[in-house]
Amino acid sequence: MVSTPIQVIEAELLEEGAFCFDLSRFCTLLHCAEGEAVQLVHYGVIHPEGSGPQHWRFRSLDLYRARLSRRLARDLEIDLAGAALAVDLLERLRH
Amino acid sequence: MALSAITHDKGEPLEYKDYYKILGVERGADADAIKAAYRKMARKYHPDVSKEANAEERFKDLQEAYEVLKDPEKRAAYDQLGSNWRAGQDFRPPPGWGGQAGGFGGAGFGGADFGGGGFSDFFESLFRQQRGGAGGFHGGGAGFRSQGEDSEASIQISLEDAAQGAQRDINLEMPTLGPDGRMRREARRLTVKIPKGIREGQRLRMAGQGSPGMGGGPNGDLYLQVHFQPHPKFRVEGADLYHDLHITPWEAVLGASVEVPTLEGSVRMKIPAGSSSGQKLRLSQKGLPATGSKPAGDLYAIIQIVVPKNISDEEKALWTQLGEISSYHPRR
Repeated sequence: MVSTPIQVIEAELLEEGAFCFDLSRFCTLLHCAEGEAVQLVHYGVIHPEGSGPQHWRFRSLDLYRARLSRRLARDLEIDLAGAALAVDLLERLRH
Repeated sequence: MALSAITHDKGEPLEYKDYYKILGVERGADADAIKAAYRKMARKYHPDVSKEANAEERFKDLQEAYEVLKDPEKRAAYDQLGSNWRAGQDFRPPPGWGGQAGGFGGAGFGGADFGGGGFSDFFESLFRQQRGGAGGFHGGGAGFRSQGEDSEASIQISLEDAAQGAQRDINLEMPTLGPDGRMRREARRLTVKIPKGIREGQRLRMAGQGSPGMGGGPNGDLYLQVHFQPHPKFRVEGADLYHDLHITPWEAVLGASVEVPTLEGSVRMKIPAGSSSGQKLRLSQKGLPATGSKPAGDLYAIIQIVVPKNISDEEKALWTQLGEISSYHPRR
């Protein structure tokens, strides 16, 4: 009898502190258009390093903050400014 | 027709859900009251915000109740079931039920981010009649293609697994798209490679392991946040490990060579003569190993001088003698 092979999932380790993603990679990971990422920056949800979208570098923490803000905005029916505030406050509570 | 439509696939009756009770509103509540109640309860039970033990489950119920009661067509269809049902009661639909529900554009709404996704069988059975209709969130209709949602979960691993890397099985309840197009929450077992040197709180991304896409769209990703199980010998701060090193008073005074545990086995460490409780001794690079741009951590042995509780007469005599001849007076 042939046993079913076990599928081992390769996981990508996301470093918390390092500014490692450019805008294109960030948008790919977030499954979003560049316009949405730009909005997230403008509302202060995420804080890339660098001046202007061409030079922005994001951390994996930004990726988490973006996902969190999306969930909060959608589920609590709040706008992006409200979500940005909530994300900041939640982060402060956890540290 | 109706019975088979509103029972489990196995033909068992469903558990009735009182959506008004879930949202805490009267049956006659208007749309504004329903919206206000949802927002208030959602703030309380949102899994990203709430500390309630059953927050995720409560929030899914809230989303489901709101999905029905905010939509006049769905609400009207639900109301047709009558008001005599009680929450949790075995549900059998009234004669002639079936197909009244308005278009519902897809399952897999909302809580998919939390490893769930999909509403209850009760909801699905009531509103799946016209799947693919207008107004859906994700859409299930022909030609609609959407990316599955990213999912978040956490995993607890041992410090040893973090230090050496490991392959671990995890069990998750995840949304899965059935052959009938229904989104179900099903237990999934994944074998995940934990990379060596991972730190507390770091996230692993598993591409394509999140919620299924709709209409042939790609799956979302799964993010696993790593937490360390408490360790009997070490506390962790970043990449550094801390170990309370218990030594005797004479080892503290005279100095000694003692065994100190590390994640790679014990090593011998020299305790300098005249050591005091609370002093930190560092074993370089014996913390968590280096990974990516992060250097390896250190292991700190924190000296804790411990004294024997029960001593023999001979020991007592020697301690007494020591007290008499010593000129050391720490309180002067």
